[in-house]
Amino acid sequence: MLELKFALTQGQFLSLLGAALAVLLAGIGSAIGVGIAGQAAAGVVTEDPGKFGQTLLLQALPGTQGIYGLLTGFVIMQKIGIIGGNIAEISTVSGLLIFAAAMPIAFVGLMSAIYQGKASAAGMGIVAKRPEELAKGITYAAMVETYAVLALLASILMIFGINI
Amino acid sequence: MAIVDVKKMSIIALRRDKSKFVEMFQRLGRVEIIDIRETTPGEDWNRFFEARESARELTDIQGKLGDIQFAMDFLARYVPVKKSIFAEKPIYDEAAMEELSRSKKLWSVVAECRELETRLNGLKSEEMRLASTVDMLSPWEGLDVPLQELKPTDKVAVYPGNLPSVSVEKVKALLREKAPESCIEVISTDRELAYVLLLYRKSLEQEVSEILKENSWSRVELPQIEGTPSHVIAMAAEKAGEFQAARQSVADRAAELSESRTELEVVYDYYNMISGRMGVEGTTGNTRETFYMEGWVAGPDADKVKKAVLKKIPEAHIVFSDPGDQDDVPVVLKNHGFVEPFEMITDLYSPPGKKDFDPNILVSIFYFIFFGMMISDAGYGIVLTLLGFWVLKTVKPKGILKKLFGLITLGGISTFFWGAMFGGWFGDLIVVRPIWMNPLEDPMSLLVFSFALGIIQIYVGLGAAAYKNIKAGRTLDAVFDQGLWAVLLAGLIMFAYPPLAGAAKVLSIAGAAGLVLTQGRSKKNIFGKLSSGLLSLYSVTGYLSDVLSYSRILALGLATGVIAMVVNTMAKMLGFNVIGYILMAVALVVGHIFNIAINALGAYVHSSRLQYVEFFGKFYEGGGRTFNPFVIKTKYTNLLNEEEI
Repeated sequence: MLELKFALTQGQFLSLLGAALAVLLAGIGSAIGVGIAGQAAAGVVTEDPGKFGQTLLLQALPGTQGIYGLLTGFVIMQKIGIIGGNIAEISTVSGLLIFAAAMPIAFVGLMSAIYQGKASAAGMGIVAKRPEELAKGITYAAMVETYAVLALLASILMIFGINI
Repeated sequence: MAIVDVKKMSIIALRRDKSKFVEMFQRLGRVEIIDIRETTPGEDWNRFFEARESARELTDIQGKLGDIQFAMDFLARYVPVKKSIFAEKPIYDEAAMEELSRSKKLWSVVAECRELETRLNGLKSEEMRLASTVDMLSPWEGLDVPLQELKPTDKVAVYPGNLPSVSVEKVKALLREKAPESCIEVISTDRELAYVLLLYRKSLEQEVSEILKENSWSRVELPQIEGTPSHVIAMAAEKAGEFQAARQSVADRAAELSESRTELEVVYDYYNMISGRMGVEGTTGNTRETFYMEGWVAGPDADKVKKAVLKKIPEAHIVFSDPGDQDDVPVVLKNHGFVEPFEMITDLYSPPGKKDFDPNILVSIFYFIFFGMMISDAGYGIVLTLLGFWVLKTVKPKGILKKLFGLITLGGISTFFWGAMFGGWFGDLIVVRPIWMNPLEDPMSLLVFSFALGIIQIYVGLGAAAYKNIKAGRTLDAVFDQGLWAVLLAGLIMFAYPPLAGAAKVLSIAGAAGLVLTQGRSKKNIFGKLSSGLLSLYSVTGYLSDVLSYSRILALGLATGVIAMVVNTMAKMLGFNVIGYILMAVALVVGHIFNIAINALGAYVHSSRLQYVEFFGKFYEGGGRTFNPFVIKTKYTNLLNEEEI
């Protein structure tokens, strides 16, 4: 029991928990978002299989949050040396700092991917009826992504700024 | 440069030359036809527009177009079309296309496709009928009586039917007791039902039906077919083989027929072109001997169009005039080769409206810089440039695709430049010292640089708005609405640099005071003026969020670099023996292609957004209509066209 308590307060564990959550939550969000957009895309393609390329483009948009999450996780892993194979000694405080730094992209990634998926799905209607206006549908979806980009920026700047 | 004058062209000529005219304009591809049926008001004019005759011809052509389309779709189901978008299209001249459209062989192919389709539908419905029969009979397979003999006689009733499987024994017992001259035979049972054959003496009808009613008996109508059920089922299985063979023969025939696909495509293009002409012919106003039509022509093309037409048809009367206020004038842009691809970005937002000037030069500069910074990898830049350049040279795309690949080429050059500045060559695959700095080591400087670019673009936006105001004769508006903001923002920015704090204070206060005094100038009373003036200062937050929005330039650039690093790290983990090295190479190629694709899309989307929201928001209205000339639109072929100018 004591050992577990000790492990849970280890800086290494806390940093890794942050990395895991960034990948996890943002990835879940993207999976849901891409799924929502994909359902709408399939409907459009039933009517006109020629629109596969356009719908795929829209469907891909909510996928970026998952990538941002992975990216943040990767930066953390590199920071604590897990990728090189020698884990650095990390104090509990540094571990908590890294954990906190992972939170923006984890949560904003989760929610923004879902809502971007919904915006993308709505954009499928544009592709169905006025395929020449695809760019407008993409722009609506991209407006949502802005916040994921900002969260990613915040997370990365924080991680870079932490000295261990 | 920028927005080109558009002239209205009016033509009066002899009616017998009409189709020659329309063909000419289609080949020139420089005229947007005005449908004067919509622009001329009043019923009096209706008699000048012919309706019936040409409409019938048009329906006829469209019917043929539908036939050809059907045949192509039908054949594509059997022999999928494998054509890359980069394949070159065959070149035809119109006479050859016309000849092909009258080819008997081609129309027999179309007719045969219809026939095959009918045969397939017949097959399908018979198959379904058979399947439902088999479905119905399968519980009765054990019945060894031919179905046609399963009929009541004078004295004995015979019925097939269902009972709940649990109550079979009970019914048997009841029958034995109350109606001994009866018999029930179970043919098969499944989870819920027992399929039984019931025989009884007709005189016992009453007793039997009472028992049955209490035990949820339901009669089954077996299909009226000859032979025992097992025989019918076996026959059906045999038939299924026949269907399969028939289907295969249809598929084989379709495969043979699809050798004519190229011809079908050519004729499809031909009819499409002809139906376009007929549509235009219907828009003219006619008298017995003459016709009148209108169109939009870009100013610089006017003379060329006139000359080309008069050379063919000297007795035509052509007049060019300036558009009136009521006219729905299309927008024609003419820009430098570097700027042209970026017209796409503006057009996708909305082409310039009547009050706008062409923003494309400004857009092109900012877009070029932002796109490159958002990817910022020299290796990726080379890949994008080569890809764009190769497509432009080999496929020679037209219209928006040409602009898109031009954008990719130019974006690639910018990406290469910024990649070299920041030392990204396929991430960290090739280590080259950055010319300027490594953003991973010093992200804050690049963040500030991104903000600086944003501030520049916002200032240019304000300048553009001021220019628009001044051109419209509203110099004071330019000073109050844009000038004062520029002063206030300059003051606020200078606070960031402490030695200038004194000047910053003066500028900020002067700007803010000016805004408070002037922003309410349209209000009537003094309180309205002051309160609107004060409220206008709240827009500072808008400018702040505009500037912060440019941080995406840094974020997306970092993302590209780090994902490339992830790809490299993971790929290198594989490289510990020969097979590993091969896998590593595959992982590198796939990973980097993926990264290029996802980040090019991201850079396109986010660079566009910075133009649309942060930049256009300051000055641009849009709402114009793109020039849509009457041209030859072919899908599968290229038409040999010597008239094109």
